[in-house]
Amino acid sequence: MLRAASVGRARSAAAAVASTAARGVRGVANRVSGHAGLTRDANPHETLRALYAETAAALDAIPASAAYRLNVEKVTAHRLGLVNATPDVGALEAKIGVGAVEEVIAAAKAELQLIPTMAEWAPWKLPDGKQKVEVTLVE
Amino acid sequence: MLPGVITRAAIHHPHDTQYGGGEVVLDVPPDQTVATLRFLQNHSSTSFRCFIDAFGTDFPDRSGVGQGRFRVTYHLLSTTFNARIRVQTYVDETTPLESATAIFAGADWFEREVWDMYGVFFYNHPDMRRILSDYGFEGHPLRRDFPLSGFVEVRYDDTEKRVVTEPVEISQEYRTFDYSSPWEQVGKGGGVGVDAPKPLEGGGDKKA
Repeated sequence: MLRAASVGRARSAAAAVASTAARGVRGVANRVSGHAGLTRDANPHETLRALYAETAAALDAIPASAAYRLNVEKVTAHRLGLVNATPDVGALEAKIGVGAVEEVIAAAKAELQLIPTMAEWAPWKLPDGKQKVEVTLVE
Repeated sequence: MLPGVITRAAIHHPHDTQYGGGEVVLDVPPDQTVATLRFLQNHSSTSFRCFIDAFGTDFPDRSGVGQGRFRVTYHLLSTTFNARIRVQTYVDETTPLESATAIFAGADWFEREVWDMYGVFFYNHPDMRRILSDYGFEGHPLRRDFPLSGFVEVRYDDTEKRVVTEPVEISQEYRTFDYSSPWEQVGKGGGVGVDAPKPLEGGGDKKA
């Protein structure tokens, strides 16, 4: 998968979350610059840790051999490791490499929401007589 | 990750002109479109959260029973990973598809267009009605068996003081144009098969 350009941004420790100076054009406090509709999370590390813990618990509904579960576990473990190892938010964003940390949070929430749907849908089960499809390259 | 659902996966190499990687196209059964789109939208490694397009294609060769003559394609974009993907199904005239508006609000008018132009019905759609054709128009114009000039023509009738719809009468026969050259083409012309003029022997005219 192609990596998005990392969003570097200066986050001073003193940046007051509730100050009026931080309000954007429409008066919404605490916008993430460059991402309409995202507001800054006060403690992204905690939020991510909680979400990843929930994800790991939710994955029990999916069989251990399913590629989906293996994939989600890999991504979750990797990102959780980075969260624990990188206290600075800007550096964390650069290491994860998908943009602002709020986007990472949004992706984790979406994945968490998807897991029960996947458990019910069970696309890893091959219908009778079918085989896994090979990817063809069309020149 | 979806082996039970994908019936064909292809990478169209020439379609990606910018990065040279190719464009991924997945074929799924008609009842699995929305589930596949939901997976692509929400899975963190795919994150195709941007809905780009939905359109239909008519393959008249596939009119047989059990084959779908209409191909409905959904086109998504992942801004996180700068990647595009297409998900397509094949349906016939009477098979309804579930509307993707449940997960992508942007699918609304595109699905209306597919219904209007091809006759593929989407259930659970908030507003399934014609979008491009005239009010009271009958038929699905982009189907291959629908003629170019249609079946009816409309004109204003002065006696009745309103627009009337009548069966079509083409007064001018269909003309086909060759757009590759702006000049009227007569004779053999130059190019392939015609030799370039040769230089004259003896050096040509020598003017003092």
